Amino acid sequence: MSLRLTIKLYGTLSRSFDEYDHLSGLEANLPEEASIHDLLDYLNLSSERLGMIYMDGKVLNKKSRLKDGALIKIFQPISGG
Amino acid sequence: MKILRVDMTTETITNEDIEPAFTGMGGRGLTSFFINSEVPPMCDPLGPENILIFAPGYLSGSALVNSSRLSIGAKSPLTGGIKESNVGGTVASDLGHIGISAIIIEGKPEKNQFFILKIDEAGNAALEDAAAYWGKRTYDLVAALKEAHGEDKSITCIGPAGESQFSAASVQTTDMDGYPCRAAGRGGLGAVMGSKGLKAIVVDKNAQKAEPIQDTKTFKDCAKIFAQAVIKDEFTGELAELGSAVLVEPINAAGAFPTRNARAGQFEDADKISGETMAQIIKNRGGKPNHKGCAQCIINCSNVYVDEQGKYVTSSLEYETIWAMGGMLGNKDLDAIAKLDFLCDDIGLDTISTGVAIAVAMDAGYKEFGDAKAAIEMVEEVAKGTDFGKILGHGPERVGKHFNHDRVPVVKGQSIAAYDPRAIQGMAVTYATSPMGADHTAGFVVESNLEEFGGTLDRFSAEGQVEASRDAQIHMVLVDTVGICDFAQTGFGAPDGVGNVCRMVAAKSGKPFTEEDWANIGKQVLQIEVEFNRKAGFTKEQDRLPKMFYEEPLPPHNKVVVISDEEMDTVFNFFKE
Repeated sequence: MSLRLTIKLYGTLSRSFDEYDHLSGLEANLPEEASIHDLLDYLNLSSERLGMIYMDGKVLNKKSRLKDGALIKIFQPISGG
Repeated sequence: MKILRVDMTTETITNEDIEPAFTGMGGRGLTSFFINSEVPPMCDPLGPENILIFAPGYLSGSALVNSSRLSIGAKSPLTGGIKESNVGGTVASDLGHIGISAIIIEGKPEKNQFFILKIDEAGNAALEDAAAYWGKRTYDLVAALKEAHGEDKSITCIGPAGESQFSAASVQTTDMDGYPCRAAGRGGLGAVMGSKGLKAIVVDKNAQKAEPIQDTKTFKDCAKIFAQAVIKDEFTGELAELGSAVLVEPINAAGAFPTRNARAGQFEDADKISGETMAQIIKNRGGKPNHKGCAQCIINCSNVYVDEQGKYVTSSLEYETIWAMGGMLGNKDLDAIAKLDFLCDDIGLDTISTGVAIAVAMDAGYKEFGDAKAAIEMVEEVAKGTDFGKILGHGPERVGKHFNHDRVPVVKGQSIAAYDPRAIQGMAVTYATSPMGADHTAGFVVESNLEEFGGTLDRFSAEGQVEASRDAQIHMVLVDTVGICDFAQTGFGAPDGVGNVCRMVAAKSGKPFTEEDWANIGKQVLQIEVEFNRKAGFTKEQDRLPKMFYEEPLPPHNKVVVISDEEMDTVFNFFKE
């Protein structure tokens, strides 16, 4: 078993993904027991300053488990008005 | 530095030297001091006793980045209280170069007398007959004025909505490309300009004599530190790529994006109107996903939106407009949102007040949510002056009264912006208590409320919210007084950021200006604004949100505003006797 995830990147996070298309997002295949940390490693985003991470519309915390088939949205910090 | 005083009753213009007490002052500090000392608080905002004052920020026209902000102030016909609304573009820098600290428009001409105010590069000002321009929408007006007066002008003007003295009327000003797409939208200041018979202010862009800086070396060093902090901040990169629309998805994800007249906090089609989607559409069509809209800007958060044929639709399509004309109306058609943005700029309407007014009408059952065509027709009705247009043009409160509908998200008559106070309690405090009416820029506490974005407050709890809003409101007075763009506030992220800006003020004026002065002026200006409002008839009852925010839980978090009235009343507890 593995986890198939759809990833959407917000702000300027998609800069390092040449083929990124925002309307379809990215596909990611990870081992079933993968954590959020593993996902960020896989995407090479571990060193980025990130804002919220959402799975199917809910905010993920450090303990949340990734679900097969989920849509993950990764945001940057925000500011301004 | 001088003040131009223009008496519209007698058609005379006088030059005044700025009083020494106002050294170091500009922008909102100046507009609020003058309104408080010259305008009878109970006067008719559209009568001869009101003044309309234009003041560039104290640092506008200097070498500092992102410093071209023009504050416009008056007693507001929308709120009935004191008002300051500020705008970018090029005019603030130009006035700074000419050496003008403020333009005060007072009195009122005879009926059917219309003027433009022309200011040349030496600061000489003259009123000219504008009968030929009256009735024009802003894009046509600017084209005609440039033909008559030359391309090298910054033009600040009103459209038909301001002429009709509608309370949602904006003052528009030209951007770097010369399009009148930048708006001082809030508070109906376009109506005050219309009441004075003033169609436009035409300012020459060629002035060379920037106001002398007393200590140029210190100023340059501090300005460099500020600019580097702006460049280094990652939010600058996001704004440069996607504009302020970068906020659509995260605020929606946080459940704080007021949708369908604030019946929900998430819009299911937010991805169709997001900054990421907009940037892709603009790129595919050959428009400009990023663009320099204002003088001195190094962020380039503006954009040029084009249609499928690559033809110009509008410039600087921003987060607030995308929300007001998108989520708030249940409208997922980005092309229609761009068209509505253009129409509001062209007719001279605040996109926030107008979008929320349409949302209230839709909520009352006048049209269906999601009907973009109906929204466009409603905005056109304002320009045509139909019976319904005359109601809509006065903003959401008037629309609510017309339909006898009480779900009207306004405070002091002015609508909230794109952050629902039930999902970000700190914004409830700012909306309720700002002397400007509901205004997101008056005390922006969104980041400090969102834990995921580094905030330390619980956004659903009252704890710490009054303090956060109070500090933000005091700070914003100064940001709007020195004339720094809201999005360049990342420049305060430099080590000793506020001190660094204070050193620039001192270097320009030659007089000491400390962080203590910064906070004291912020408090003092807020106090005179609140006192003006009290004398204009406001009580604590005006520092409350409408009951929908206390009684209707907002999905998906199903929370209401929990800040008590007693807590709201402590925001300004620092006022001096």
